[in-house]
Amino acid sequence: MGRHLPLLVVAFVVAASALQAQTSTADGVAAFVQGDYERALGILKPMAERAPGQGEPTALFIMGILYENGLGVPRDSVRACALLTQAAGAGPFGHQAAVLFMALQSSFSADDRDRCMLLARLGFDHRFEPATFTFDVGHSIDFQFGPKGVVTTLTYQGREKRIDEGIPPPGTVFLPIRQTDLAAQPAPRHFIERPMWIAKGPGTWALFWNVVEIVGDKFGGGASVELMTIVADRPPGDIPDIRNMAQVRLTDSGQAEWVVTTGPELRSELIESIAEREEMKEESRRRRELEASVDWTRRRDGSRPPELAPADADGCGNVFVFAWTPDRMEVISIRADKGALGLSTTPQTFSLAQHPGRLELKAHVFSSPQRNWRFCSDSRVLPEPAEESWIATSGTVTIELSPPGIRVRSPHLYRAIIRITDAEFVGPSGTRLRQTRPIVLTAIVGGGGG
Amino acid sequence: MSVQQVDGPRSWYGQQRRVNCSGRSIVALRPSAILLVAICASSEVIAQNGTADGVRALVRGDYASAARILKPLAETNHDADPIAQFFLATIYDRGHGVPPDQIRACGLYLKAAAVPNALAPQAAALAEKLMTPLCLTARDTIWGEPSAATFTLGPEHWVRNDHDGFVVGYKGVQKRAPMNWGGPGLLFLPTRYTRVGVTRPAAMERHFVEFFVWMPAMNHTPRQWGLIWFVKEIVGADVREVAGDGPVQEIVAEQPSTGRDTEQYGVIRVNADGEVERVFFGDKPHTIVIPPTSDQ
Repeated sequence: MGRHLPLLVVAFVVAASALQAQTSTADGVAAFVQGDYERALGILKPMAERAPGQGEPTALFIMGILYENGLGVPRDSVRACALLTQAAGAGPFGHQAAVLFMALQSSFSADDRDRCMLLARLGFDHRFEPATFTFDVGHSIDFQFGPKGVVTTLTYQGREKRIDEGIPPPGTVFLPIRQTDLAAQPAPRHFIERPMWIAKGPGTWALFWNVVEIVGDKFGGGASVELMTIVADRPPGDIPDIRNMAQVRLTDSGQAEWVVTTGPELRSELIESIAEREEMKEESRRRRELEASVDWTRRRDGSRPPELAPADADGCGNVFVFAWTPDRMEVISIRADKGALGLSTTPQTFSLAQHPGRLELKAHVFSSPQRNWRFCSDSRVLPEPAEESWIATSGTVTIELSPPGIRVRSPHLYRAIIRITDAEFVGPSGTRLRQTRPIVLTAIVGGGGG
Repeated sequence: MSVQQVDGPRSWYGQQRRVNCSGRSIVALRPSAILLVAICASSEVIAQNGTADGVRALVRGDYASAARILKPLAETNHDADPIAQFFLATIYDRGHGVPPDQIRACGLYLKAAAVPNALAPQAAALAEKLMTPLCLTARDTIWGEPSAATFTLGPEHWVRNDHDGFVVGYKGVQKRAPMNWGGPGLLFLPTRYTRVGVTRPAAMERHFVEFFVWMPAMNHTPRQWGLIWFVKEIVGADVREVAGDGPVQEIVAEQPSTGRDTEQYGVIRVNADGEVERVFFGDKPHTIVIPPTSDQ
């Protein structure tokens, strides 16, 4: 008997709190029945307008009727529709709520139907405030709450770019959007900060801070960082001082960075410059184009001599550079030991014959086009393709490195420019092949792999 | 308590509609006594307090109490409360604690929509979903159902009928047989219990609970009424169907007599052979023998 007691106590407490909840819903509905709409609203509104899925069904139903009929509140059939949608299917009036919200929807315009669904799914306490920020003459960004969610319009040089962001996660509470301009050189940089509370679970809220750079008509680098988590029915009504927790700013060297100054994760990260971002985008665009032009079904003799005419170089490590031919059936690789060879920003020339083990030039020939290769990549396609390697035994290689820091978010990366002339390759069967045209490979290296 | 399903008298609506409705031109009656809008202030306060209590019970999930409180406030010719009508309708709409009854719900919604009140637009929208010709009859009439009655059949043997069906008590066990037997405009005469001592096929007592119901014709002026006689036999703890249920008499009248003398329309008695017979005295006098049920 004794060991059952705690369970009984728990059951009693649960029953008592359930009874209390029902009683206060009943009080609110009784007030509605008696025509005391102010009292009904006071009781039912907080019970109804919780995060989606957490509203009390009967409170939602009566609130829907109050808004639809304009009793104690301004008439608002979109809000009524959203309340009834949330009330549908649960509680003693779940069926009636479903019939009424469908009847309301059928009387709506398409926009109002969307607004109803948006409210029903997002919740009634989103606190979104429309805002417009101007960066320059004819350069501005505007945030509005449209029928289907937040609509962002970026205006630049007379053109408008409109982005429908869709319905935010249920329960999202928006905080005011803010503009931050940094006095960077050669031109100021513009950032938009959008903090918001996101529901992590019943009664748990995370404060997220989203920052994005605006570059002309484009969105640049940024971040989305969780600043803090609180336990509460709803996020607090006051607006937290985000600047004490996170901000974008200039470093001493004039680079833009975002920095989190509170919470468990104190961290910062540099934000790419406009030029760097454009260069990275251009590079990935070029790679996509090259890959798109490959005939992946083509087959060739795997014992043919290499063409030694690579089109596109990539790299990693200190220093490994490789380059594909346009048909993806041959790759040239060069491995140069930066420390042993004393590579630097000053161009240095080496003879291939004099540095075995520290400077290695190869051509790899395949019988079919290769999507991936085993170097500078974490991915492997098994079985690995058969290749014939041609190893350079003589020739001249000139290597020049750039200073590190060409990628602001990966400061250890640097660029290698490699010029190969007069190399002689020896094939697997002893065949010799001499290079006729010089090869220049430029790639960003310094990262992992190789 | 166990539960037994029994057929209610709903099938007669279909018969009546076939008899009285020509094609699609169904015109609902508008009787003189419906929905008195003029409500004096004091009675309104009293009525709404009652409605609030009923709705409290409904929100708490105590549907039986809710229906008991709301019915007299909603289903009355005098000072009916549209808010009570709306909430009582929600109880019947989905059958919360009662057998679902969409005709009754629809009629109540329509009544609730007919006068300005806080729920009128919603009542109209909900009624539209349930609309049938009978719903209009339900709007224009008061819902009729038998009043509660209890009869003692013998030692440790009794039957009670209420709004929702029968409860039979037999040798200490109670068995419930729910019935959907109310209807728009129905006038139930007092429920009658008849005990008959038979000698065939064996000497025994048989127990019959009899209902006489005036049913209004939907589209007739002056108003027509048909008297329906339906009978249930109580066998042990069970409620059994009895042959011969149907109309006994038709009259033209604004309101039929609801006097207690139902024996002028028909009786159940033992015949010369010692069997039970059902004797109709109405428009077409005739007699049928009620055969014993299989386990008698």
